[in-house]
Amino acid sequence: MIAENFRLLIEKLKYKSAKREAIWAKTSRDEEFKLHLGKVTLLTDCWYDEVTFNKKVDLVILNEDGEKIDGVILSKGEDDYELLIELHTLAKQSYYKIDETFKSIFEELDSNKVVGEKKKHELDDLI
Amino acid sequence: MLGLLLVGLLYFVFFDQKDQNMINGITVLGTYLSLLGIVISYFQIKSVKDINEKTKTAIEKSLQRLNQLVVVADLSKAIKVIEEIQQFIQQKNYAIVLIRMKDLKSILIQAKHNEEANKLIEYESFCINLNELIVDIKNMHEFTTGYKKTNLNFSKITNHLEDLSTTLTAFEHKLKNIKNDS
Repeated sequence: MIAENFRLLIEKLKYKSAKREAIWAKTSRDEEFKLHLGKVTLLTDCWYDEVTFNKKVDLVILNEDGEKIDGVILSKGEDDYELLIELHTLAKQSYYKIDETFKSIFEELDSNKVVGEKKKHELDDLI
Repeated sequence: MLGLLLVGLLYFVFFDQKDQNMINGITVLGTYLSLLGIVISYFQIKSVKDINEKTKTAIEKSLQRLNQLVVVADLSKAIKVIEEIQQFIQQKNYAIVLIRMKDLKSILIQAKHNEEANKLIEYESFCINLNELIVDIKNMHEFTTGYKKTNLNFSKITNHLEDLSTTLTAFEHKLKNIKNDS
């Protein structure tokens, strides 16, 4: 069970991210995304914990000097895990622009034109 | 001297013959000398004030230059530390990487709060680079302690350091040129 202020923060972040009004960036961890808000940085990460053999998700608040102000970490199966993983998924979708990518794929496929690109020297592949 | 002649002339013009005695002469001369003293004092005070202001400006300029030199030295040190960190990453010596990254953060935070540096630095890109370093330190800490053992992209950390190095090198050249111009 997470604290009420964290629940509110997650809800607000989800709302903003779903509206594509939050610019999430990727960090040096493959599944971690960060959002810079004034003097703080919010980080959300999702990883497989090799100690507990369980999937985990977290949300961390860092101040401008990199000190951890507060954070929440939840394992799969715990209360509110789904709420936090939804935020992580939205951050990921926002970073990779997944909706926009699908939209452009569908537009291409729904059009009457031929899709794909023909190689200039197709003979090279046949040899 | 001219004033003394003028006062003497006025004394003989405005004073009756019977009042032109030694006591009145001394009184007029004393008044004249007092006024002259006040005028001389005024100019002396003004001159001292000007000297003080010039000294103050010169001290401020020296401090500013000294501050710039300190920042240049810090930036050179930071660039060297970045090179070291990149080498330690290649050698997979991650405990040392973390220590040197923290040293680097300390240098950069000092530079960030330096007034002279603030005026000249590409502040936005510097803050972005610093923020990336801060997050990388957190991730490196979690990696070395075993809290999060997987998914750390070292090539991305190296890229972040390279971006930071570029920003700092540009800033260092800017500061050095200012030093040469002045």
